[in-house]
Amino acid sequence: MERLELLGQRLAKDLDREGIRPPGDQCVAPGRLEEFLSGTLDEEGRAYIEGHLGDCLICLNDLVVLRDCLHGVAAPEEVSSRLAARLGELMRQRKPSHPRASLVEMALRPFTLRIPAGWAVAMTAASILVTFLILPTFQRQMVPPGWERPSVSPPRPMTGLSQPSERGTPRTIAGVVIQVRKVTVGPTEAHVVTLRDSAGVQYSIFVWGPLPTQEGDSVQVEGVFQEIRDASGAVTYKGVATVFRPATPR
Amino acid sequence: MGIDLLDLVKRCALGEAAAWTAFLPSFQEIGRRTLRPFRLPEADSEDVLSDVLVSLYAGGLRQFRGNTVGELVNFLRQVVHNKGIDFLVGRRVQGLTSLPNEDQGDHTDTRIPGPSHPESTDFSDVLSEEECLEFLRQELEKVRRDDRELFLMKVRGLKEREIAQQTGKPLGTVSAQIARLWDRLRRRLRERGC
Repeated sequence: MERLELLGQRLAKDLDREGIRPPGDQCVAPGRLEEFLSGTLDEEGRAYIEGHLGDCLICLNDLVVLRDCLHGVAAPEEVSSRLAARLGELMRQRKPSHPRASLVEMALRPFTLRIPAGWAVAMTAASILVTFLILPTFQRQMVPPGWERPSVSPPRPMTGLSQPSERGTPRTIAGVVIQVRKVTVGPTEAHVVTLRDSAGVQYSIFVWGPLPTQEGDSVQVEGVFQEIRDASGAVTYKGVATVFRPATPR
Repeated sequence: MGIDLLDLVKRCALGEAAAWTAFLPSFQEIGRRTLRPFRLPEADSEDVLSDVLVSLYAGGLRQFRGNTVGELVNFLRQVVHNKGIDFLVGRRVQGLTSLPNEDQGDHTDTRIPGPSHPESTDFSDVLSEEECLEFLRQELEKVRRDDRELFLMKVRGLKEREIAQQTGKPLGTVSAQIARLWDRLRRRLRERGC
């Protein structure tokens, strides 16, 4: 690159630096330059700026830059994939900072309780189970004495040890384990066992702690079970085990 | 366009994610034009603009207090220009550049020797650079305002077609004017010993 161009670029950068001044220190405010470019300035203002641009290289540079930027903004090119990706990353990482949000966060910080994720999952599961066990009791208690409960479907006749139950009633079932899934999170070990009884009825049972059995084993389970009926009318049961043991010694 | 862009910036400052996506093209245009005099490779320009975007997104844009697009352009120019300088200074610290005339913000000697500049206390290159720069500035003040404007547009990296578009002059006129101006300034610099 020739000497004149190198010097010219250096001059342009110097003028940029000199032109970037706090509001009030500028010879001509950027807003006025914008009006000058758009032709909306009054006659007197226009004449003043024309005269000033003839004397001030800094303001002339500001005008050149502003006009160039306004042309660019009026017909912008496609955003580079790099910049678009960077904005996408920023958005995924966090929401843009908001003054009110940060004030709210600061105000609530003393009241925020932090617990490990594993404990949060375990506590959630426990509260669901407690609700499962306790709520039916409360529902029964809420019915005044002398009032009859709404009718429920009569129990289906079943063979073997399995008996269909009302919602939330503790009972004992027996069957063969057809699937075991571990649902341990953090320090809490648990399993979901799928079991089929001799009548072919399927049970999904939540079992806390290590499991003393595997697929194909015959087991007996004491627990609380709920009847689930799908769209086709087929019945399965979901429940929580309070005792889970092999039906026959291994 | 002006009110839309200012409204967009307000929405960005309030934390609206969609506004940032809409703001990005304008930001890119202003940023690229501000970085033109730095003559950085495209990848480096993108690095600088990416850094600016991060700082604006993190809350920097909320520092804009103006009411006009002109003030917004000025604000963004300042941020981009400063990041550009930081980038160049960073590269000099790493010894990755061989240009002796990078802007340091003041004119005291802060040159850090790079691979092509062995450690030396000879500042004659720097002094003649400053003298030639001052001479060029003086020469520009002698020419017509029109020519000064053309000179600034040309050294900022605008093509002659863009200059013609922005000034409203015919392309042929612009080319001829620039050629005459360049001849004059080259001759004067040569006579001065620059």
